[in-house]
Amino acid sequence: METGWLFYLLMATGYFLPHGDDHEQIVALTKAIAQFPDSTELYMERGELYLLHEDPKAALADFSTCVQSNLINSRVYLGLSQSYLYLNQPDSALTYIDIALQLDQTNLAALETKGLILTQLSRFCESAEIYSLLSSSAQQPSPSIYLDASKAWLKCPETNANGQASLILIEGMSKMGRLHVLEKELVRVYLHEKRYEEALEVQTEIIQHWESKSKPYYERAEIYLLLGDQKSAKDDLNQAILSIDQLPARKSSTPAMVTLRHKIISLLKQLEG
Amino acid sequence: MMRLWVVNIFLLIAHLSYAQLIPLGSTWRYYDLGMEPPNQSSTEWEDLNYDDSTWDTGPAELGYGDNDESTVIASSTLTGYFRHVFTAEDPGDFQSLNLSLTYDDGAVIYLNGIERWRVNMPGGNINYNTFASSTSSENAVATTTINNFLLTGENVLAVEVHQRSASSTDISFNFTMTGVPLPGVAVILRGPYLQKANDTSMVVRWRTNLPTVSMVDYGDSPVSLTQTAFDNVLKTEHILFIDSLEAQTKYFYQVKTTTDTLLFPDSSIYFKTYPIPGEETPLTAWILGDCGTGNNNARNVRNAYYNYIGDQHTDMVLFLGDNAYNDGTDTEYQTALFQNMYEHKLRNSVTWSCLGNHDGNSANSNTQTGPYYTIFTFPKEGECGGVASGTEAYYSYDFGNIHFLVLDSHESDRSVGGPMYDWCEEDLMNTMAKWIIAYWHHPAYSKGSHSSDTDTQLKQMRENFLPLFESHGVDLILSGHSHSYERTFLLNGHYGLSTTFNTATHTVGVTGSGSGHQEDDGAYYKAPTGPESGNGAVYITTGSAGKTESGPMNHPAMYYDAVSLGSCVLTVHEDTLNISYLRQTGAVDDHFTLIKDEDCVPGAACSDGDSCTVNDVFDNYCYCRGESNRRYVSNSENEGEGSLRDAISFACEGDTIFFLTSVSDTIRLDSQITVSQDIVINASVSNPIILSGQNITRLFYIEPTVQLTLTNLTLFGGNEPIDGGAILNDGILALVNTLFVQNMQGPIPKAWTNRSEVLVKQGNNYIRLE
Repeated sequence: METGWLFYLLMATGYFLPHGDDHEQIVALTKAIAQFPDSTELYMERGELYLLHEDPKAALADFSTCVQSNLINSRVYLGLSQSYLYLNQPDSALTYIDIALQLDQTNLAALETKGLILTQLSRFCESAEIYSLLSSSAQQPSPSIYLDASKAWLKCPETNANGQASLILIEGMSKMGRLHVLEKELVRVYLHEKRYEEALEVQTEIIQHWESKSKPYYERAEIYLLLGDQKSAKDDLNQAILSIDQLPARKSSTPAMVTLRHKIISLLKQLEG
Repeated sequence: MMRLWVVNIFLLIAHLSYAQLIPLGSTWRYYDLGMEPPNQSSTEWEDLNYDDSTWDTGPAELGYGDNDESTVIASSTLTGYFRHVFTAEDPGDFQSLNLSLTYDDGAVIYLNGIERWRVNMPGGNINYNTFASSTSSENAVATTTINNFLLTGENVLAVEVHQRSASSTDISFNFTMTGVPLPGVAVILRGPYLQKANDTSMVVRWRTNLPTVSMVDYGDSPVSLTQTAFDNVLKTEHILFIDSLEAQTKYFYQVKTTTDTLLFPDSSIYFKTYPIPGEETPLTAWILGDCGTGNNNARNVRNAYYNYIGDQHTDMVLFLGDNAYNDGTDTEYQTALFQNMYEHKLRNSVTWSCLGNHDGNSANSNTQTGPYYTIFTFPKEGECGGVASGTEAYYSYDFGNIHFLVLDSHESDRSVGGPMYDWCEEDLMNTMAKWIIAYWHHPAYSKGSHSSDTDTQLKQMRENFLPLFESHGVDLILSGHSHSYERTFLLNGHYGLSTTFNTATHTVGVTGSGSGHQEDDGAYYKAPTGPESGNGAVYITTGSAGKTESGPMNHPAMYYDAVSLGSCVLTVHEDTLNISYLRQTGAVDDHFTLIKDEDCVPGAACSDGDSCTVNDVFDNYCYCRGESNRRYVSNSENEGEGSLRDAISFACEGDTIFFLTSVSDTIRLDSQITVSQDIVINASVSNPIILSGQNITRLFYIEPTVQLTLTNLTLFGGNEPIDGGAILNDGILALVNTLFVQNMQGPIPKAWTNRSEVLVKQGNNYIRLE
């Protein structure tokens, strides 16, 4: 009997039907809920679909029904939290994400959501801690986690946060290898922290590793200018132009390269003028 | 966002523990002619050697009367007969066979000619007129386990399905057979499928029921597998990296354990390495958007491609997301991709994919967890070309001189300056490939079941990423999500709502607002250099490989759209990229050609292949165009080179004929000139020309629908006793400052005979009788 009931529910929700988009699934779940109004699992499923459909109010109503019906699990509270976050109520979102994490400390999606909430609340130090925890908890973290952590560390006013913004990026590179998005952010962090020599060092490594060197040269020239080293900046700008000129015609004449060339020449003229 | 279907794990376990020998929905031969199939000598219809080649064929469910059949058989038959031939390479692996029958009303099942199971049928002999024992419920399901009677090699499963009575209104039939492996015997449950190809390596993946070592023998022919790749770690999810391979080389292979062969080699089990990056190599790719229904819609689309491509190798299969409905779970992937679906193609074609929203229901891009990320192995370290992304959510790879970018439009940050955008910019900056093709799930332009005017992901991808792609000269963008087919003109610079689209300003080149068909409007052209360098891309939404869904279908950027099942075939060869939209019916409903001639220099001379044009040059889009010819008359002879008659006979449609100043005398014609295509005969005011019929002949005959325009001419002495005067017009005669003098019809003055009544006069035209 139990199995049959479950079977029916799964059929009704479209699980066995390989068709259906989110909207169709919502319709199917709504029908199933009408038939089995006491099944809180169905409300949870529909709430998650409403979130995917960017309808946080409807999602909130379904997750609230789950809580009122004593369906207590991390999915429900994660859904509640995300609904409030969508509705721009980060305080409430934080309350419920903490419950979700109490119920399941290993829920990576909940950790990620908490980092986002804390950032919205401008509680950057805590946000940075959460993202750092996420980066170490996830087996295959994406670069965005390290970037989010670094950005949060950079905004964290506490003294012990000094250097953390760059360290987390370096940790990311040690785990994932040389990734330009992390290197580029590292340069930005070093410049923000006025660690120009280190920024130059990373930028030089970028130049060495990139096939298309024009933009990295241009960016290093900008760093040289921050350091007041006009001669090196000019050298790099000339190198940047040379790099463009050495490209195949189809590459050097794309709008992106033409624009870059104009920027380089313009900066060179300024320096020479 | 990850949604877990924990409650259904039991299904996964139940479903995947055994090897599928006959999957649900398989294709069957059937006989429905209202009688038992006749014997062939002593061979009966259920026997292995019976020749069923004249029987009809179709995918299960077969039957009639319930409107749920994939293949409808004749409703007049009381009994349907079905046969399915399959191969068991290593039948000794199985201790028993699990059978599952969907039936209405009764059935007898034979394996290799011997009855093995009877469902709701009476005892004793069974013939065509035997009725089932009772009325079954709709699509009743019965299961049983039988001993392993499989033969090595070919086997046949034959089924006869009987009605309860002559008045019964329906027959239903579907069937699965799975092998239950002997204890300790490993079998393949999924795959093999190919991943992460480059010019020197390949990843082969497969799944076994038991943890085993991973071992693949490979070589240059199925009977010469001289090399072995292996990983001694015991596992069920095998990801075997094979390196030190030769570029663009076909390797046949078999999958093994240390003690047993799991997949035997044959001519269809091979992988082919990719060409060296930068080399011009022809590409064939199969593009499947939103294919993940796992049903006969998807199979029909598949079959259409298999018929279309035949034995030709497919270099890659591109899945555009929503590969497995509804939630991209592992179970759903099994039926949507790997079982009775694309498994034969995926053994020898490399699989690539982007994440769809339904895949995203059970996957998390930021932590790269969930079935999508477990099932696929994509290059995140730049190992297949391109810049390392650090994530399988978005990545890039090369095939020779073609660079592919794969984005995650569902879950990764889509903002300008976000990690995906920054990676994308660096990747585009660094690729030197001639062709750049990008794909992601949510289309930049669509008015199908999703709207690119209102849906967040669609708008953001268009507004944020298209300017970047266009500035780097991307050629083709593929997406799904809307369950239809929509294909744009050759576009550039449109990032707004559909209401702001303007064909005049947002298409590229002379042919950019046309069909892209080489045979009519002309192919699309992109210039590799010059002021329009890199401009122009075609955007395709092809999300109907598994299902269709209607929508307004009225985006003005589309050259063609249709709500129909289908997939796309991409071929690239040197300067030419072709796309065909292949319906599930086998019809090609749309196609276009994009040409990027590397040798083109805008303004340089070229040949447009049209002998009627001159001064052919490449325009700024590298479209080779000539001017209409200007033909010259250089003497006043009646005929011969340089004569008016000669100029008209060699003229092309639309040509204008001029007179050189060397023509100072009257041109005297001995016979009339027939004008059979539109031409203009244009004398100058300063050098008026006189044409004379010498009172013996008419000057011109104009054929129906043809236009002759005469400018600054004097037509003199034309004479014809019937339909007389200087001109007989059956087409269109346009006169501009033309003088008619002494033209006759026999003894009667007559300037022309106009039979078509189409006469256009501009300027001063005079008729003088003297």
